[in-house]
Amino acid sequence: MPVIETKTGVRLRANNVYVITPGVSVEFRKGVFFVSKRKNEGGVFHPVSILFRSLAEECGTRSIGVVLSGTATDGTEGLLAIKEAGGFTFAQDASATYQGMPQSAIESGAVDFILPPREIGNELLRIAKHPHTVASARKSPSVLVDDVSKILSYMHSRFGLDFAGYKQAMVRRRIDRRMVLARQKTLLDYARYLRDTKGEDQALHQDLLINVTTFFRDTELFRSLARKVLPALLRVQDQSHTLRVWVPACSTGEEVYSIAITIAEILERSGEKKSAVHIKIFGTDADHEAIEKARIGMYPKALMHSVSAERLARFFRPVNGSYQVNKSLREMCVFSPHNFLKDPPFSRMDLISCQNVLIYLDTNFQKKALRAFHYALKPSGYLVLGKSETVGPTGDMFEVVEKKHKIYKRKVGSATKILVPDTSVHVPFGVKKEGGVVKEKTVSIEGEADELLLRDFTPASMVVNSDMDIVRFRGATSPYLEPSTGNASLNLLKMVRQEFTLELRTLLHKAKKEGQSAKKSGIPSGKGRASRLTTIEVVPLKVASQMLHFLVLFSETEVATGAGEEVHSKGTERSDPKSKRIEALVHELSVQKEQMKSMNEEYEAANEELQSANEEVLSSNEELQSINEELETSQEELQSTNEELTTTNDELGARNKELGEARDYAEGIVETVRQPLLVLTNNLRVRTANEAFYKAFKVTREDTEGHLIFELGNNQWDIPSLRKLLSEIIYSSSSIFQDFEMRHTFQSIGEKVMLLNAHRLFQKDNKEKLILLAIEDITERRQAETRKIEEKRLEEIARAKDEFLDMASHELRTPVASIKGYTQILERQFTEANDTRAAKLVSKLDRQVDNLTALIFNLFDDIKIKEGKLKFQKEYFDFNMLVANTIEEVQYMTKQHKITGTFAKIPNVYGDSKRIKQVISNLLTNAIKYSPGAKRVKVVTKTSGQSVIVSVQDFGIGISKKDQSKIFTQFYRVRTKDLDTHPGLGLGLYIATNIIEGHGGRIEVKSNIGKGSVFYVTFPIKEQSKKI
Amino acid sequence: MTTSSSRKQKKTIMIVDDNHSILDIMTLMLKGAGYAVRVTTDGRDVLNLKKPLPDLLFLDLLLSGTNGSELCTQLKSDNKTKNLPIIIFSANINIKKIAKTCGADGFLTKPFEMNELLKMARKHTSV
Repeated sequence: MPVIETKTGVRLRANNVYVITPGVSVEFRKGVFFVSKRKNEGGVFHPVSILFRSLAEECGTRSIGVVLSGTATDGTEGLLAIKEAGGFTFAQDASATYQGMPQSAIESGAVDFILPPREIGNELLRIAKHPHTVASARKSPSVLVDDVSKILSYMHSRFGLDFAGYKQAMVRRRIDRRMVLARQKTLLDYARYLRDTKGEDQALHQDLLINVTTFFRDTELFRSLARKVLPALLRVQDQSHTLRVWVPACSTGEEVYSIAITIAEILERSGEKKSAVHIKIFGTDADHEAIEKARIGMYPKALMHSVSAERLARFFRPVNGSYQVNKSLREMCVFSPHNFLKDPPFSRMDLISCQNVLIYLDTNFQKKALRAFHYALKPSGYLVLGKSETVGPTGDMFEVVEKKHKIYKRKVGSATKILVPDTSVHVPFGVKKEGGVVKEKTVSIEGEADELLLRDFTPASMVVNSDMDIVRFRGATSPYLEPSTGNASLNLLKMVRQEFTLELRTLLHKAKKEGQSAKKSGIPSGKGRASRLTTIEVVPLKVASQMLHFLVLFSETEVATGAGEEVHSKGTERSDPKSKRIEALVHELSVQKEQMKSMNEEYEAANEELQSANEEVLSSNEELQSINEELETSQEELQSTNEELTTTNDELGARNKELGEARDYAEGIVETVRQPLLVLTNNLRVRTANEAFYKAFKVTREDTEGHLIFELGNNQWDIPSLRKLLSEIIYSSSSIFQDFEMRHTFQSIGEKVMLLNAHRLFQKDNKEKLILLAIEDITERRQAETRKIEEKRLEEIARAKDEFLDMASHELRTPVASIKGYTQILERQFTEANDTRAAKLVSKLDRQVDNLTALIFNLFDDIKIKEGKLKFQKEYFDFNMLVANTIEEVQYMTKQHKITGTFAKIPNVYGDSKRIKQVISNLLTNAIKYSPGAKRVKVVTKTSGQSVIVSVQDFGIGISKKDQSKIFTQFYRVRTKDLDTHPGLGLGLYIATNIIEGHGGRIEVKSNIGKGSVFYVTFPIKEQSKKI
Repeated sequence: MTTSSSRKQKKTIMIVDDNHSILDIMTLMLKGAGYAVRVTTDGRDVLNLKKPLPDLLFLDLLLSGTNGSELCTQLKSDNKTKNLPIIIFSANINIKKIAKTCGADGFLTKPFEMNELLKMARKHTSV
């Protein structure tokens, strides 16, 4: 939908959204918008209400107003106007972000539907489609008057209430509303529907009765009542008396209870006991149902928003989500069904509160109602009306006490045309009316005599009020009065005979001005008939009531009956009387002149005064204007402050949420952390502990929180060093201790080494000192550390052992080397000396030395293998050369065997050449050793893929299948019966296997008993990527 | 080996070892093969060698007070002695690697065969 900004002349079209530019007033007239400068009403700018009101005036029953979220109270008056015009009104429910505007509208009772925005939309669609709203607004209502009156007479017969006296437009609007809501298209349909549908008559009845009321509807009014009216009324009452209040058309009683609460509060404040002044508040309404509700005094929570929490607590008690008015308050109130337009009114009321009732009545009924109220009030009684109501046409019955809040006071004795017989008793003017009828009956003889004297012997008199209206007559006043033609009036100046008018006016003026009695005697009167001289005296009366009254007394000082007649009949011819007459006339003229002059002067003075007063008024007006402007700016400032506050509030809300989250976060961490944590109070009791603590020390929450730390788990925490530390923390200035290590044996979990860290927490709010104690179980860590030290020590021992082994091997070899050296020298010398026998022996000796050397080597190798410390020094070497050299060396040792080598072409091989040589040497030695009868040993080298293979073949005793798997193990030696076992430890093949495996290769054997064995050594030619 | 040449001019071999029996054996073996032999048990002696220099030096790796490989390195870095052939000998199985590191010309493992010793001497004294 297009969104259009309203400008003057923009025509309203369907399916468009129009927005108001901020700061201007927009009105809707004849289908067109009119934009004007902002209009302030009573210092407030309510653009929404202005628009709504124009809409109501323009569209009447077809207008619909919706108030959504917003601050302040704009829109409320507008909705009232729309409802008044018979339109429909909506307000957003509690879903509104800012409740101000919708809430205000709801409180005013102007809202038909309180819904969330989505449902408002649905309802709008439904209403828009209803034929009544679409078409009927243009129909002439007169055609339908009969139908309306049919409905009303039905209602009259049904409920005994004649709505004919209600404003017809309003009645019509209410019926139209019901028609829309009941989905009936014509009045006739509706009349039928009304008759046939159960409950509809009730609904219409309710709608017509307009039970719209809330507690303290107009708070300002109630404040004013509490400040001025009620205290005055309560003061007047003496102890035994009853303060009587009448709330006609009280609906469901909220207003009644509001007044009751106000009175109760005043009594309480003034310290008077409730029993001293008897309070009676009469609540009446034509609606029986409403009265029933009022009696019970139970109101749903939603209606209590206008009642302060304090009042709610004082005067109500909650019952199932509702609130019931306290019994004491209910006892003050009397509810009864009563139609103040039809039934005789109550009497002797001190206060009548009738708010927003008259607005529904047409003028005649309003008059009737006000007369009834006048009658019902005591002379000094007050009348309170609704904001937009006035005493209007009967202004002569009430005087304004407070205009703003429509508080009126009954005018004394002015009730002239009470339609209902006046049963009250008139008491002498100025005398306080007490006890009424009862007092009248006990009047004494003396009093009666006084009355008689007063009647017969006092001059004729009248009491007039400041408006010159006659309030009371006394004595024979007829000679002085003469009703004038035209409208009937009690005004003294109109009633009095013409000849007295001038004098009387002067006297009244004088009396009023000077505040004392004024007298004028010798006023000739009796035109045409008897000439008399009359004395008029005006006495200002000051009584308790503020209104100024005057007592006007008439008396005749000189009665010239006879002479007068004479003069009248023939006086014109007589010179004496004639001159006398002329003299009198001249005298009168001069007196008149003088009077004229003085009056003129007075008028002039008054005029001047008026002029200056006017100037004052003008300047006051200006001042007021500027004050108004100031107020307006203050209002705007307040509004913006309000918005700021709202924002601040939102922010605070967000902060609060963040705080909550942070707290959850922190608590989550504390609960999840695996380190046991304790929070201790200043007296070392556990405030809280986390899950980890309970788990680690196998205790329950119940046994922990609130207990002294030393008592926990059967006093197992009663550790002297801990006691000392904690007390230090409490009593000294240090706020922490760190990494205090404590070894303690716990009953449940055994010995533990714990690291304690304490930190004092200061909480600013409650000044409570808390200690956070973090406990770390370092038992395992300590054990690990011990293990590490042990390992280190073992390592050192191992190193020392290695050193020792190296040293030992070196030290052992040196003497062996010497022996070998000497043996070889000896062998040579014997050979040179041709001592063959000796040379042979020495040669044997030399072989044994070799064996010994091999044994020593093997022994150390074995130790190194066991320790996993067999190390290789690998490099590329000529494999064939190595094998050849080894053959050559071993060949020295045997004369019987011929070792033959067959070499394939082999590239340089990667390995520890000395170790490889050791292996081949070992295999060759074995081959010789285990083939005592054979003559040769065959050695072959070749390559296979990426590996080199060397095979050593003997033709000796062979190895059984059983032994084949064992020969590579440690200390295993092949034994045969016929073979004298070679000295050896059985380590050779074991070490050889380890060496070859260390090169990533393997040794295999193929053997047949009696035929010999072949050993294959296979290992990779090239350096292996570091796998082995 | 030609007896005539050995008779003409004896090659001098110097042996350094703190073990007297080894010194004794090696001396016996080498003298028997026709070499002139000088011995010392103090390694530091080789640092002040007087001319004429020996033709070959046998240096024990493990010497009391000093270390054969260190001596070898020093001798090889000295212009006067850098051309003197040096054989390191020891019972240490890593002797081969050590010999290479310190710049020795050969190595001999204890216990050694007489043939081995003589072969080594022959190799390094021949012109």
